Amino acid sequence: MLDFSVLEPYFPLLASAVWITLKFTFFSTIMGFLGGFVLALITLSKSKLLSFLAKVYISVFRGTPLLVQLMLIYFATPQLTGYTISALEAGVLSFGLNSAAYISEALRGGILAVDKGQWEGAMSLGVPKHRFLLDIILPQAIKNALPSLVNESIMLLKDSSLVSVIGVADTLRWADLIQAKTFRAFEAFIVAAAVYYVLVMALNFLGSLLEKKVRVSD
Amino acid sequence: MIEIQHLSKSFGNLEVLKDVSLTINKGEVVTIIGSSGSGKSTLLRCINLLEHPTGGTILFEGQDIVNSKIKIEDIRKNACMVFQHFNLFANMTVLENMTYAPRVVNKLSKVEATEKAMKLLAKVNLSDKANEYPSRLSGGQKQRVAIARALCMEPKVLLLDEPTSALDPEMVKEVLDVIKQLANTGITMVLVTHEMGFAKDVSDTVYFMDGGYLIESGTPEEVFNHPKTERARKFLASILV
Repeated sequence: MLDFSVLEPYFPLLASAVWITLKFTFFSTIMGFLGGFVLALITLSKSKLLSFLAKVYISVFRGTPLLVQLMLIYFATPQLTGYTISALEAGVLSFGLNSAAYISEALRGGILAVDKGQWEGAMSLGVPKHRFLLDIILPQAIKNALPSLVNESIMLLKDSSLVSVIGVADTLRWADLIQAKTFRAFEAFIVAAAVYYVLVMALNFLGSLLEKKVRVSD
Repeated sequence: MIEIQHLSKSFGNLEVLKDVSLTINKGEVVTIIGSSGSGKSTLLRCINLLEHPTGGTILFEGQDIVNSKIKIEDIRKNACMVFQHFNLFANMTVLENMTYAPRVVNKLSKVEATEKAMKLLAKVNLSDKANEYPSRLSGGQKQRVAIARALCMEPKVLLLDEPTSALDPEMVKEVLDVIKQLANTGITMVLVTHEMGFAKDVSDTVYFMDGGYLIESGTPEEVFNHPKTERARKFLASILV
């Protein structure tokens, strides 16, 4: 029989586990956006070398599993540098680097979709490139790419469950521990699943609010 | 004020400007006419370096802007362009469109820039649209805002690249009226247009281009009524003036 009451003593632990999941998602999204923006600009730049390097980066991070990248960073960093990287650092770093590759592609598409006239309009008034990229092109590029960007942060939220593999006490790790202690696999994992679902729906909602906001100029 | 000497421009193997020379004086209203593909727009775009010439020189107030190390932005802010497709910034309101470049480039304060923008907006009869986004405006309104936006920079020369070609017929007049008003204020203006009647009306000097060459120049009376070349005669005969 199903018995959710056995989980009750562990709910305070769940709260801190969810908090960790959120923290992971937040920091890796920030890192992914910043990295992705820089990468997108580099791939569109005139420097052949830089643009080639950026393309190699994107291809490597999109072409290998996130879990492999995570383990590589977590376990190989101490071996190579002598620095004992914490699980949190390793997680944020690998997720950030990985999502930067995806986000840069979404943003690149968004930038290319901005009408060429917007560039010329700004140039013809003497506005320097670094300014109009930030003030005119980027806002429109983000608007174009918003659905993919929201999607990317949803992916990050779900993929954050991978950090449980390197021992971070996140939501999935919580469920795993509870089922070991109580032998209640279904109850433990279904609660974890529900938590992720609620979080993803919340992100979705935020995304649609954002979408409405950026559509005011339509 | 602007001296163009032996200007040429190629895109790959395609030579669109061939040995073009002309002088534009301060306060002069210059119109460039000719069939599509004759190089009119390219010539105009060379003046503020949206296209970089492949040969020749352009002297802007005595300074060679093609082969010099002057910052490209410093040239463009003095030679602002109005485009066929308006190119208003889609993510900014009308007022923001007009105050953006003056604030960023000319370092005007927000108050100063707004004051100037509102004055110019009143001149083009669009004061009530200050806080609208461009997507809410008609083509004619967009183009009037674009003209006012360029004027906010107080450029030394205003370049207009077929400003009425993308407009519905009933909106052409409102834009031409604004340009005509401007022409009478003593501003230096270079206009590429297919509106021959208008060109005849406002220009001090008319240039006729064909196949990348400047083949005819003179007062509207000379070019429209007594063209010297066969090509110009044919072109003018084929259109309604």
